[in-house]
Formats: sequence, C-alpha cells, structure tokens
Amino acid sequence: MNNEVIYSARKIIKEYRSNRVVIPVLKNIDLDIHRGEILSIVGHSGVGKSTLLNLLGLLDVPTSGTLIYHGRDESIEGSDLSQLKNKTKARIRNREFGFVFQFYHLLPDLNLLENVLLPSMIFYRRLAFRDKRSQLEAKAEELLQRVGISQRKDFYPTQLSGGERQRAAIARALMNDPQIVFCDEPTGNLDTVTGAKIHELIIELNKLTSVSFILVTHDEALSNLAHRRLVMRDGVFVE
Amino acid sequence: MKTSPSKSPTNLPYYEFHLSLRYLRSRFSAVAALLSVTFGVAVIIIVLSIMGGYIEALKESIRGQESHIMVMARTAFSVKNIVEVERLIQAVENVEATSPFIETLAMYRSGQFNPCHLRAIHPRQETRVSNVGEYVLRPAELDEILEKLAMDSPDKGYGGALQPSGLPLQPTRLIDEVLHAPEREPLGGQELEHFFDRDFSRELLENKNPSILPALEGTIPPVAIVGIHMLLDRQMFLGQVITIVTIKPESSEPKEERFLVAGAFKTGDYDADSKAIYVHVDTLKNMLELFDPEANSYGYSGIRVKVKDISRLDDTIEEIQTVSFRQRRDLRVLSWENLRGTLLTAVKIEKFVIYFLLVLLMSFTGLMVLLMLLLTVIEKTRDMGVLLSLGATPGGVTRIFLTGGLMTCVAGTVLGLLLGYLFCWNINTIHDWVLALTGRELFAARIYHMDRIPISFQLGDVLLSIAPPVVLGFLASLVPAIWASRRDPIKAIHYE
Repeated sequence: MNNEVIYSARKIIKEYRSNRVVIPVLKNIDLDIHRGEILSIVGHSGVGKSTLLNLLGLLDVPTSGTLIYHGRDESIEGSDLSQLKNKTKARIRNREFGFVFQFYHLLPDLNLLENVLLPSMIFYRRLAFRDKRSQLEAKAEELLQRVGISQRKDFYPTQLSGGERQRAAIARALMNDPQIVFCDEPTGNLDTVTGAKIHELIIELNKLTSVSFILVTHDEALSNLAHRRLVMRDGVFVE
Repeated sequence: MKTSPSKSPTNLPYYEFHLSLRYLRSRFSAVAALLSVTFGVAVIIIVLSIMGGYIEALKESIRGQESHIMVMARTAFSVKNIVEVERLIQAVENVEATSPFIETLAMYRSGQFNPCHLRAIHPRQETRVSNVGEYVLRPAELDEILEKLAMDSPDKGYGGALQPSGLPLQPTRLIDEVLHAPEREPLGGQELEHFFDRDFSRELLENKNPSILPALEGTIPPVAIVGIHMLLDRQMFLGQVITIVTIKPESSEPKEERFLVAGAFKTGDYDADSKAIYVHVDTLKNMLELFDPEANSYGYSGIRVKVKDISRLDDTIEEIQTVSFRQRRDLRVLSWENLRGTLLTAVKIEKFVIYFLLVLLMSFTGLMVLLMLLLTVIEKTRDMGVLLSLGATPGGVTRIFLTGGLMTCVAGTVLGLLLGYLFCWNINTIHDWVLALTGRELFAARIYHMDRIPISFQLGDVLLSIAPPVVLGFLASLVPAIWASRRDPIKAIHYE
C-alpha cells in the first residue's frame, strides 16, 4: 500500500424521490481510495453503504458530486466518471473494476472456469477470444489455483459450497487485472469459519497484487483486518 | 487490449453467442419453440407443395386432353365445311396440326343408365394434337393389367388381387406403371385407328364375349374406348356391347346406338377417367345426324389445334381468329387455359387463402418463441444484472436473446424444410399406409380428379415457407430481448 490516490469522490450526494418526497441517502461524501489498500466501510443496514459502492462502481449515478479516477485509461484521465457515456462506463467496469457480491452471482449455466473467464469474454470479440483462448484459460486456471479451487474448474456453481462459490467470484473479479475490487458484504452469506478464510484470501491477494479492495460489510472481524476503516451513519462518515 | 468498432457477427463480444447457446441448451421451452417452428414450416411447405403439385397436374391433364387451342362455334355442332376451315388454320405459320372433334353428353346402359361424356375423335389426326396416344392402353397392355387384377373375365370380380407385400393391389398405380414406363412410346395415329378396324372388333368379340355373337346377327357395333374407371368399377367389361343414348340436336329426339367396349384409357383426371368415352367422329356425326343439306357438309363441335411454339400461343390465337373470321363470323378461338380457366383460378386463390391462414397459425409459433424467451429473460434477470456490472452493454444483452430467438427459428426452419420434403417425397406411401391401416382414403380420387397426390417443389414456395417463421421469430425475439436489456442491474443483482 502506498499513498497514491487512484480514485477520489467529492461532494457525493444521492437522493431518491418517491411521490415528491426527497429521501437523502448520501449526504456530501468525500472519499479517496489509495492504490493497493484494503478499505472497509461499516455501518448499520440502510445507512447508504451499498448505494455508495454502486456509485463508485458506476452501477448507479449520483445526484451530484464528482468521481475522478486515475487508472490506465488515459482517455478518461481527469474527467468525471459519472458524466461519461454508458458504453464508456461499461468499459471501465469491465477493465478497471472488479465486483464481488454477497450472493456470489455466478452464472449457473457456465462452469467455474467459464465463470472466471466471463469478464474476458465480455472484453474480447469472438475472433480475438478464440485466438487467445488457451492463454486466457491458463490465466483463469491460475486464478482458480490462487483462490484454492482449481480442482473444481469443471464444476457448475450449484455443485459447490458457498465458500467455494465466493472464491470463484473473487477469481472472476480479478480476471481482467482490475485496479479496484468492490466487495458488497462478501462474507454476509457465509458461516464464521468460511468467512474468516475469505478474509485471509482477500488479504493474501491484496499482498500479491496491488489491487485495492473496498469492502462494504458489517462483519467486525473483516473490517478490523482492513488497512483503513470508515464508519457510516445516516449517509455520512462519522470516523 | 484494443476494441474494434466493427459489428460483424464474428466480431461481437464472445459472451453474446456463447450465452445465447447456453440458454437454449436443454431447456424444455426452447425445444417446444423449436418444434413449433419445425412443424409450422413443415406444414406450410407440405401444403404449398401439394397445392402447387395439384395446380401443375391439373394444368398438365387439361393440356393433355384439350390440346393447345380449340376453335369452336357459338352454337353446338355448327362448325361446318370442316376441311376448308382446317386448311385455313393449317396455313397459319405456328400451327403444327389440327383435328376435328364432336363432343356431347349421353347416357350409357349397362344394367342401368349412367351419364357419360362422348368424345368423338378422328384417331389419326387426334394423336397429333392431344396426348390421347399416351392415355390409351394398347390391347396387350390392357389384357395384362386386367389379368393381374383378376378382372380378365366378367365372372371374376376385382378385389381379391394382392401385392407380394400383402397390401391390396392398387389398380391405378399398376396402370400408371405401364403408361408412364420410360420406354413406352405413345400410340401413333395408325395404332389408334386400328381400334376402329372391323377385323379387330370381330376378333375381340370372339375372344372376350362370344356368347353375344348370335344376338348381333353378323353386325359388328362401332367401337368405344372407355375411361379406365368404368372398367375398374365394373360398370362394364372389355368386349361388352353397351347401348348409348343421346339426343339428336336437330329434332331433339333420343337416338340409341350399340357400341363395343374395345379399349380403355387413363388420363389421371378422375372425372374424365370415369365418365368420358372416345368414339370415332364419323360414327357420332351419323348417329347425331349432323349433315346439313343446305351447307352440304357435316357440323362439328370444333377443331383442336396444336402449335409448334407454345410461347407464341397468344399471337397464334389472334392469327387463327383473323383467318377463321373470313370463313365464319361466329367462330371462337380459345386457349386451353381459357377453357378451364375458372377452375385454375379458383385453385390458385385457394392456395393463397390457405397460405394466408397458415401464416396466421404461424403467429402462434411466434408466440411460442416469445414465451420461451420471456421465460428465459425472467429466469435470467440476475444474470443480466451480473453481466451489466461486469461490463456488458445493454446492446449485448439484447443480442443474447435476439440471437437465441433467431437461432431457434432458423434451426426450426431448416428442420421443418427437411421434414416437409421427406413427407412430400413419401406422401403417397404414407397415404397408402394410412389407407391400409384405417381403410380411410385421405385423398379421394373422385373429389380431387386425381388418383395420386401430386407434389411440386418450387423455390417461391420455399421462400414463402421460410419468410413467416424468420420474420415472426425476429419480431417475437425483439420484445423480450429489449426488455432484458432495460433491466436495472442494481435491482437485478439484489434480486435473490
């Protein structure tokens, strides 16, 4: 971990409107993400943790505020990500970001290897994918090995335990060599022992690569293992 | 990592095709949609091929019986000075041959009275203008057929004869095998004339029906060549002497004459094969007393004309009209299509209407594809959210389902065409099978004027069969596909 800022959010406000009533969810959030750090965001349900994660991951747009990203893509350097075209956002999500969800969200019609390959299937066009298939498969297998389930590569998600599925989901998030991986309650659906093993894996992967992990969780054990811990209450950071 | 802006199918992101195939694999709804397209296409191609074949066969049989052009008068039996009129027509450049004819309705008595259609021809000339030589069975051929069918004597009844396979012998197929044998030459004018030879008639009577000879007191009745179904249905037998009654046009009195059943023909047109009787034109003109003392000539029904080049038929009709107009102002010149035009038009309209109805039915197939894809979209909502979060575009998600729908339709269409062709190729075998199993005739000869189910494959029909599933399939895929891409990824992901 170093102090280089790769992603900064400024004055982020998110409001939902229903029947002319404005419900503020995020109230003026400022946040810097450093290269290679593990940042945990904790707080009770409904304080806006997941909303913030969705905004940072470009799955949602803020009501106001800017998102400045310093990644490998020079064409977007210095521009506000929330203002970009959907297509560009999709490209950034595919190349620069990785996602890990509470319910793993592996595609049931694909086996583990294919699930890990999915981000590269989205990135590459048909012909290019075919050309690089063996290379990409080797990479996916290596990732599966790193998360400890390479012997399960031909299995389908329904044949696996929750912990194994989450390991595969983490491998998938790393497939396109992202800069930041967003994890939304990654251990929320796992028992304590399995959850602890996922924690170890995240820390290990973070040490091996320079990928930043943003963890939204209310798992105290997990949040304490992070380099930095932010507590959220009523749409603002309190410590 | 560079992305190309090109949108050719091979250059779309890999996941789209990969996933649309996966989503179809081993899904019952996909199989159901595929089968509904398959059967829809098969039904359209089968129906269009049968209708097309029917139209073709109808045209063929009309053309064969009627010759290219008919020159007729506005009133019956009033084409007089026949030799002169024929000479005028023969002078027209594109005309190959002509033949006079008389046609009238009559009754024949064989046990009871039955209606029939008397066609009086000039045997030598007729073979040059129509296909009569292909239809009339040579005496040896007829004998062989009747023997095979166990009908060679009037005491034996047809019905017992069986094929080696055990199925009842199909008499019409047996006859078709003889008539349509590739090495068979049609009867020439001389051969056809031989039927009307007195020596031939006497010999036939002595062989087939000697018991009648004393009653004839040495006279030999004129010859009639009858439609094959009159023999097969045991209305009459070969060598029988039948009585034909008709009305004399001049006096409106009935006129009766005995004829000898001396031969048989089969045109394939059931109506003709069960009702028409060929006699010699000289016999009928005397029987009907068509001699007009004023004109000092006999009156005929008309003249059949064969042209050399069928593509110039319309011009030739006009020329004949011009030259015959000099002779007689009330002559009409008609093409074979004019004569039976209403029937042909009716069948063509029928084909269109049936096609239209089938396309309406195909919309259910479209609905199947729509439902199949909607089910898949609902089932895969979460997947779509995941794909969008992993960087897939809404366009890509649309294409997953669009490709799936189109692949189902294309695969179904190909299978349907194959199934349709297989069915059409074997349609008569299938028909005989059903007949043997259930005893029910699906394609009744007496209704359709044909004794085999005719089939004709045309490129246009294939295109007409392919168009509805592809268009409907595309439209049916569009709605679910767009719906899938409009789903909110956040909601989709949290949907558990």
